[in-house]
Amino acid sequence: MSVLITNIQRYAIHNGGGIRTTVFFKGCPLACSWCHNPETQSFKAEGEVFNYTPRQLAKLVMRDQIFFGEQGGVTLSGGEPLAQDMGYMTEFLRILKQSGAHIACDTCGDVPWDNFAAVLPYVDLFLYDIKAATEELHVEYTGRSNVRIIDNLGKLAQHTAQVWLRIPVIGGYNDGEEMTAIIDLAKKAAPGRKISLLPYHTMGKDKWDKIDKSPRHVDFYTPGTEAMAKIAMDWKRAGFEAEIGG
Amino acid sequence: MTQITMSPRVEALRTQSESTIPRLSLERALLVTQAYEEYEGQVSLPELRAYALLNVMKHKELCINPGELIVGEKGDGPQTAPTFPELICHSIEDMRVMDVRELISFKVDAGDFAVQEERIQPFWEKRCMRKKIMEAVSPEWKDCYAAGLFTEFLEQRGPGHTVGSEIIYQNGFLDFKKRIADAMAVLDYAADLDAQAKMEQLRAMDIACDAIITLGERYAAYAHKMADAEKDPVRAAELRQIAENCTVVPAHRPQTYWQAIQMYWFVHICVTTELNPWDAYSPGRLDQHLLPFYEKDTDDGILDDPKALELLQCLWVKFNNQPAPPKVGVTLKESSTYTDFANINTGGIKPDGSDGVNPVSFLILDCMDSMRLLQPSSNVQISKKTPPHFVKRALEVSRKGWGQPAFYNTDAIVQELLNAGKTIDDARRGGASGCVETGAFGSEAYILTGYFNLPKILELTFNNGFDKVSGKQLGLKLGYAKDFADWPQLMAAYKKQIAHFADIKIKGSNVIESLYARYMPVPFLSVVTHDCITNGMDYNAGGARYNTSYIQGVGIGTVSDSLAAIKHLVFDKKDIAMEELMAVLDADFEGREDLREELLNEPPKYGNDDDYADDLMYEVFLAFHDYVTDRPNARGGTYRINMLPTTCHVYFGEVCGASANGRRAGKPVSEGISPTQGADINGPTAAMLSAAKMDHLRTGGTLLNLKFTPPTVAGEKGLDAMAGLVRAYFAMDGHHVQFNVVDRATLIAAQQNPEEYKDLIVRVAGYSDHFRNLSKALQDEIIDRTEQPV
Repeated sequence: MSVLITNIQRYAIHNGGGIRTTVFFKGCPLACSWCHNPETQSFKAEGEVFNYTPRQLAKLVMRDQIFFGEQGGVTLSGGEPLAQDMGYMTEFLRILKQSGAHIACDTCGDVPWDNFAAVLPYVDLFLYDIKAATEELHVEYTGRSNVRIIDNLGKLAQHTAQVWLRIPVIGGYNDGEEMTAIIDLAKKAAPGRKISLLPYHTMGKDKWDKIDKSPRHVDFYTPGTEAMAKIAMDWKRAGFEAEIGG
Repeated sequence: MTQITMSPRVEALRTQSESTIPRLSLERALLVTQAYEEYEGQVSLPELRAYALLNVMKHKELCINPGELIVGEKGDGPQTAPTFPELICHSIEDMRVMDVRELISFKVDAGDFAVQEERIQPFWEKRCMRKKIMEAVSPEWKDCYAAGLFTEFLEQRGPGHTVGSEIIYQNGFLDFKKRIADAMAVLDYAADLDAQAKMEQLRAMDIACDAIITLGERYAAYAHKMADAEKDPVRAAELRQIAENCTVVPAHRPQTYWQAIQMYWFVHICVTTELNPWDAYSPGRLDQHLLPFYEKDTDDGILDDPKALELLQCLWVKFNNQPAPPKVGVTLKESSTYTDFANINTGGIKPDGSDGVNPVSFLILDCMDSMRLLQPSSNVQISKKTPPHFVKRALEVSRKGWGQPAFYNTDAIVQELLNAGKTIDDARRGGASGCVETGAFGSEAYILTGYFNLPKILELTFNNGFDKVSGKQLGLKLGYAKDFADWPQLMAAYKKQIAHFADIKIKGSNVIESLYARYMPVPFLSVVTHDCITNGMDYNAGGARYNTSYIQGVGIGTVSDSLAAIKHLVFDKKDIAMEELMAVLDADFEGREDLREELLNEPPKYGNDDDYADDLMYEVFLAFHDYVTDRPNARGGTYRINMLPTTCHVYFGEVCGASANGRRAGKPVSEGISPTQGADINGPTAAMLSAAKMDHLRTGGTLLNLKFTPPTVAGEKGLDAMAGLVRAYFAMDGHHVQFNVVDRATLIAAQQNPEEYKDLIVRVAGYSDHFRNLSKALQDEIIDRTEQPV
């Protein structure tokens, strides 16, 4: 029973509410070209990785408990936290839950539904990423179909109200017509939820160089402030509570 | 975001305050000398001191600046600094240096060199306090002082650290005279053998009341005269109101909000003219003191918020007009700034324990926000009961990056004061002054005695007590680093050396306090400090309700990291032999950059929530605390510790060789209880968790600096996160935290092009200063402080 961790980030204030500690798990089913944590894509033990028992990990991420307050807590991110050894993950979450932490899970959704079902008793908030509505586009830029992702979102939205959608707004990829399609998709699968629109940034580029890899596509740009405001307005008109940035 | 503006009047006054070049004024020195010549030998010493103050207030030049609403300057105008030859009689060379030195200079009028040489020096040279002190302290004290083991606050400045209370808003000085007369009337010459000494002291206090009343009367007449000559009818009416105010206060208790502020300012001028106490004087809980006047005037329709704010802004300018008294030598190094550390506490709780935030508290935040002045230092007190919107508004101002307000933990301060023996009522009236120092406002003389160089003592511990820098045997002969067979032996030796130097420091302070008690009574300060009148005793002689002496520990981060490095590499891992490490430190890492890198990067460091290093911090803290706390001082009180540096961490670094945490010889040591510059790499929460492992409640104040880049604290989330940090740190009994919000690139640019960044203000340590007024070493130190990333 083991998982790989690339980083534990304390004082994280942009993924879920309040002051949080975010743990980054290594390995993801998707291979997004814009990924800003590319070192977490592969499941292989490479680069700087850490190995902890579930109990050790729970203790580490709870060191900042006094800062969590009513809104903060622990965020699972990566990589894909739900594509890990689920025996490990449920044991970790069980221990974490005992300490009273608010637990958020940042997921790409491309995992078997059973993995969601396994963590539902513990996770207080899902941060659910949607990259594209059009399947071909999704395959081209992430390497995987989005059918299971959309399917899981619908199921998850029925199980719990605590789902926020996170839409990376990638200039040149999904910032045009595709965004309209994403809005339509979200209206059906998870109407009225809180939406975080995350403008593409180039800070991940150094990380790609560092792991000596290059993504399939590189020609993205950061959407301008006005373009972001317009997209946010479109989401609001569609009945969502939209904010720019995490 | 709220943006508060200044009226044209305030803007002009602020500009005058900021653009006037500080200069020396010998007016006070001459008037004090004249009084000594006239009265000495004919009256008791306390009365002599009171007559000196009276002579100054009778004859000093008056000044009402254009447009100002609160009047009174220490010198003859803004940015003039009187000298105090009875404490330090400056040499002509001192004055020349002050005149031309690059930082913290004071212009000297050409004619003043002759005045100093012919009038001041002959009278004071051989009898000033500095001379008396240096003759009275032991040779070993002098050697340690010269070597930088500790500094001495009272060598050029009077015993300070005191803060005003509500009594000056409830009593005029005629009322104080009545109280003094009552105290005289009950003196029992049969039963009380100190009755005559008390009588002399009380007479002096009575004369001191006359001094401030005289100042008020003269200002009233002066304002009338100016009003008569004033062509602008609006300004003429203001001057008549100023005259009216000065007829009421200080003789009588204030009737209006405006008069209440004027009352405070007259008291401030008199306290800081009588002597030059460390950290000046402060109004204390200004928002609570002013509230009754604010409410009454507002109900009466003679005050609205813009006017109330403008009057506060006028007061702020007055603080900023008074540079700290000119310092030289070590005292300048330990406190290299124009700031005189008047520190205003806002928020907190009321004496009954309920939340103290009121409408004036918000006006004070608006005042800070709009004025952006170095003086007064402004802080907010945050208790469990403080409402979130007040915390947020304070953070909104703090986030703008210039370091004010700082944040103090009311609940911790109350516990610190209770722990030090104050009543709950006095504890709740207390707060923080100077940088972070805890005190019972209005009833405590809490004298800071000097900084204590913890890293230097560790250095001496490794060298059998011998100081290689001064070439003297200063410490105990307990062996060399290589002689310590195991870790406990090393720590035991370090603790013995701490005790040894604390002992020398305390003995010296007892001598110095006794000298002040005998030669430098402060009858005016005694009038406004609780229990001096009823005790018939001077503030400097133990007349206050509480009399505490503080030693300030410096460099705990450097010490903790150095110890952690040695424990980890020499004793645990046995990576390097002690002798080899010591040789490398002696050579300042020359040719062993590899080892320096290892020391910097490998061993655990304080500030990362790592118990390995943090436990060592606690052990050293406790050793220092246990040795000092509760030892008796010369004024009937006890010694205690606090942990703050002002700018002394730079000076202390200069006299230290290389240290085992990878610090090069001569570089600054860590400041306050902040982690070593650049050593805290796990973010602000980890730094706070480490700092909170110190037992703050056993101290009289600790200082934690956190540096953020602007994007880290941007937006509503940034504000919420900062509030979360403050609340959590305070829940862990942290005493104080302050934020520097400015990015590294800006600081580097400002260092290279100071002219383009004239306005850049940064948080130093318990106070803010213009970046351009800091030494290069201190600028570098601030640049090197760890930026906390998201």
